[in-house]
Amino acid sequence: MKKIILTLNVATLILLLQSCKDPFKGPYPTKVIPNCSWDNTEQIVFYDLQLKYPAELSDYHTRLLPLNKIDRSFIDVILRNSDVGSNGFIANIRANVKSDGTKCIGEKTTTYDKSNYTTGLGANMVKSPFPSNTAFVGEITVTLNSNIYRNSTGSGAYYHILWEQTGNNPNGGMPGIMIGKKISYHTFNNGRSAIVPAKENDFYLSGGKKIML
Amino acid sequence: MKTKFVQLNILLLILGLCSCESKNDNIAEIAKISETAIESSYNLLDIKPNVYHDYFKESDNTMGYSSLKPNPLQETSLVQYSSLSPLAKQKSRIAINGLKINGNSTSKKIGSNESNDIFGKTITFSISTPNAKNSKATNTSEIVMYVPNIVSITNPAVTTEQEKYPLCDSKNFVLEWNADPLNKEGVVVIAEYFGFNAIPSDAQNTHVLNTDYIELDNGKATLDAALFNGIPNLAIVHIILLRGNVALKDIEGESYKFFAESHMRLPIILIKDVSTIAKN
Repeated sequence: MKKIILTLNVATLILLLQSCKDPFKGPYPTKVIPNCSWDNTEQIVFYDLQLKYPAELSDYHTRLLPLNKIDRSFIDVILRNSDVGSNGFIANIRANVKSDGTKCIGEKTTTYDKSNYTTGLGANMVKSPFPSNTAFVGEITVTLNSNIYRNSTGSGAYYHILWEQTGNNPNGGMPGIMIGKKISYHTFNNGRSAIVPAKENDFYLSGGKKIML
Repeated sequence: MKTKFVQLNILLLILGLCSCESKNDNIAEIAKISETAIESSYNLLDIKPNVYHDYFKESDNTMGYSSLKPNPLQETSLVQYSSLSPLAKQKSRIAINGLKINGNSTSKKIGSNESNDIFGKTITFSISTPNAKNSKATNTSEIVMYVPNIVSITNPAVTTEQEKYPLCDSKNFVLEWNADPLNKEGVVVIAEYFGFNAIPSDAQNTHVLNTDYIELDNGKATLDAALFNGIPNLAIVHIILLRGNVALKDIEGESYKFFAESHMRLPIILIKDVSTIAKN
């Protein structure tokens, strides 16, 4: 009899614990948004593309540029010569398409360089996978990196130029006017490299304060 | 002896009920974790329950606003978003602050003037559906929520082209922004790395998106160093600061999600080793 009562007690306890399994039957939806499928391909088009160059370019580099120092084609930047040998040909463009998460969750990055640009890069256009399981709503970031050039007028031994644009236009167009950032650096004999900030930015930030170099 | 067993039975019952109560809290936390765990690319560092988790819950109808400032020197881009079910399109009249939403348009860019009526304001979403008993009458549900001011990073400060891509120490990264004391939902901070590096040979074919939650919108926080996990020294990183509000509601058998958020991107060069910065 005691055993039966004890068994009943344990059974009651198990039943009570089981009843706690799903306490959230409130009014809110609890389904999670699915991951994106990336089987669509679409074009990311830039309106009025103007890739502007910053100051202090080398003479070699300047001679290769249009007179107004504005490139109107991604391909021109990708194919332009470098003066540091084969290691200098690093130019590439990267498009990151990120869903905002209202219909599907995920992001996808596509890169084009000299070896594969014909497969999806136009003068003012980048092809990229897009979600196929829903209409795309989200953000697109496109980053273009130039080849490497010897630094003859600024600080550091070498430099490259970076352009970036992020857009959330639901109609798909990206703002085309971008001013490039010159990034200078040294490479030492031991193989280590160091960034060299421009004279007017001779500091880094730590703890919210400028630490002068 | 029988009395003892009855007492034991009652004790077990009480224990069972108590454990049920405490288990509810645990399940709430576990539910939040499992909901966010699948978002692997978002790498959440803080899984505490907050309103931003609600953004990733599926709903039959979604509408709201999203504001992006791509970098400190660029204009803000504001988008109104709506995704309505066939039933809601057919039967419901949906308005934000009294202005009817076009149910056929998925999303559209709107002027910055309109943002003055949304951000830093308490806005009302209203959904009117026909009354089943009286065809001339309607049932109206309202969702009222505060939408925080458009967020703006103030430190690191970038006001000129020359100041773009500031060098920032990952170990002691203090971020400052325009505080909104009326925002009780906190802010979200994200470090996004697309694989580019100040030293081109160190570039990687990878994408990292680390996300953290800052509970107090008081305008200043030291970022958790874990925010930069998986991101190399001298990487080009976007610091993204986001704040907003989300409301979920069931109306006439359909689920609705209302949201409004603003976020700003600050591209930086991340310093993990200060010896790799050379003096000019």
